[in-house]
Amino acid sequence: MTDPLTAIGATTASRQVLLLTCLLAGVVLLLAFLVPALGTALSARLIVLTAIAFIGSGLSYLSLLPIAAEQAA
Amino acid sequence: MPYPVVWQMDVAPSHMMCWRGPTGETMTPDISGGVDNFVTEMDRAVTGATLGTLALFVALWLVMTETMREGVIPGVRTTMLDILGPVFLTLMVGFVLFAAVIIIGPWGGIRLGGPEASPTYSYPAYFAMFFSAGIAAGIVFWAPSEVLFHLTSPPPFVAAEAGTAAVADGALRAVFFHWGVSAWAAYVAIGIPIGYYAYNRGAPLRVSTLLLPFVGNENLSHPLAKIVDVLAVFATIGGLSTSVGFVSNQFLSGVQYQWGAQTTGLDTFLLVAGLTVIFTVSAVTGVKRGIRRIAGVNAALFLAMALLTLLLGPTAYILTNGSAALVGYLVSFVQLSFAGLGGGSWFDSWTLFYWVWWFSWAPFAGLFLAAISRGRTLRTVAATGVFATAGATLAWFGIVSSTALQLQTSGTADILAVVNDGGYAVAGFPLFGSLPLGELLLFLFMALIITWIITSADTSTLTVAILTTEPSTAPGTGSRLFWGLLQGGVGFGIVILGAGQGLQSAAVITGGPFGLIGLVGIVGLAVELYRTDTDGQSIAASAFGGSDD
Repeated sequence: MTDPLTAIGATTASRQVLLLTCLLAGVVLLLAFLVPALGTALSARLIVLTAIAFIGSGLSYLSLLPIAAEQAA
Repeated sequence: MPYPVVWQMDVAPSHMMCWRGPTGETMTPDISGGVDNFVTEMDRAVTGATLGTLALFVALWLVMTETMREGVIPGVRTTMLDILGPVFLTLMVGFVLFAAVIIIGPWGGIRLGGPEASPTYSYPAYFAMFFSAGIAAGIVFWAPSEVLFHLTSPPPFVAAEAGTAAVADGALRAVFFHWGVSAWAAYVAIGIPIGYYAYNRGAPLRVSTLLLPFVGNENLSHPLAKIVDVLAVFATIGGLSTSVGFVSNQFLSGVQYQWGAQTTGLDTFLLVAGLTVIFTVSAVTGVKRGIRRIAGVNAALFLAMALLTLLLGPTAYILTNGSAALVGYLVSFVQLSFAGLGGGSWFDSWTLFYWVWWFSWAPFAGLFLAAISRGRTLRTVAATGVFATAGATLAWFGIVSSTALQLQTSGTADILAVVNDGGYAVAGFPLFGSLPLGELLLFLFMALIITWIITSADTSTLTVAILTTEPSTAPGTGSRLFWGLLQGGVGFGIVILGAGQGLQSAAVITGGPFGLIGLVGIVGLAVELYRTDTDGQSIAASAFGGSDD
């Protein structure tokens, strides 16, 4: 049975790091919206960096995914 | 002269790149990568002239006083629009007619790449890529705000009191007119001739290829052709960098509005730098990987956001007002298209500006449309380029702009009060924030702001890299990195220097000629199609024998 990470193409350490970054940054950003007190406590710089980390890591992960992995899926 | 190869853009990194020769054979280039390769493959005339023009612009900007900055470039733009305004308005009508002729007429059956060619990308991917590349983040910036401009200052064809609900239909009709079929037709007018010459005539995939019927394939390295490509590169960089600047402001305005956090120049730098890294990575990984996949994510986010707004917003109002405005737009399309010929400040400051802005994006969007269209019939390209993309755009504006109108006119949310404090960049935040599940919508909205600019910037990076590389060569990693970083740098520069309006005006000035170049393109294509087809037969006979996708 294929493990979930392999199934989505996260077969290398760098891709797994990108996925983890996307997940963590996404959760922080979503919580900043859902819990206003948390969002207010964060500086603008931290919000910008979190947003860039969230979207950048996610989109970079997609960009770097080999075509073979997509075809296999 | 060596016969030019046609680059298919079907694989990204230079070492993996696959080209196709004029007869369709696969060619494996000997590219080892690196700076040496970037310099070797560079089209020095186009690259040098572009960098020189940019440097001259920056130098002039730094030397000029504030008064001169506010006077010279906008003055040139205004003069150009005053003199050529009627021409631009007429040209846009011509581009719409061209698209209609291709869709309805026999030429629509001609397949790019020959009768046996098959499309490189699935239709959803093809649509998502073109749609995402062609309109940029303006769609998220202006959907909540432009309609409010027209609400408070109604267009001349709306006979109702400013600020009242009676203006809503006409205000939305004006937005539809500016973002609808006409805008996309300009891209098609550039894209279809380039695609035809590149895939059916073996010409290089670049904007100057539009001159082929007049100068011949062997003269496309003529200085006149180089000037066309330099203008295309400058207009693309100017347009894209201005958009990066606008989006950065919109995003940071959102952060300030949502959490009351104060932003600094360093935050702007970090944001632009982050965006630059993302779109450069996407451009370097190429069409099949980065660009196609990110466009897919963007289209999915866009669809989710539109549907959620429709369901969570004033659904009945959206449907009734949107439908009325759509019918009004279609019925009055011809009248609106020619109404500006009579002059009037509203048409000068709105319609003409938009038309020339779309012209300035046309070389980049048109070239990209051509690049991804191999294997598709002209009819599919035109229908996708005009109806499918315009349909999606109008649906989005119908939903979001109607929501803004309803919230404002009913008193549910005072978006204009927020706009008066924070500028139009912030209009989307009070809009989505006042809907049920507003926090989730805002989260998606901010993500969408970024994905829209990424999907345009990665494509424009690739397009500029194509135009600044020798016609017989595909741009390598070094070229994509260079132009990606340069566009990000220019974007940051215009935010810091406050040169957004200046560069936008400059982009409009260089973009204006593409209305005329587009005319050259469609006239030349018509002559070419009448003259002969790829087998030397009558084009009409061949076209009737073609098939659609």
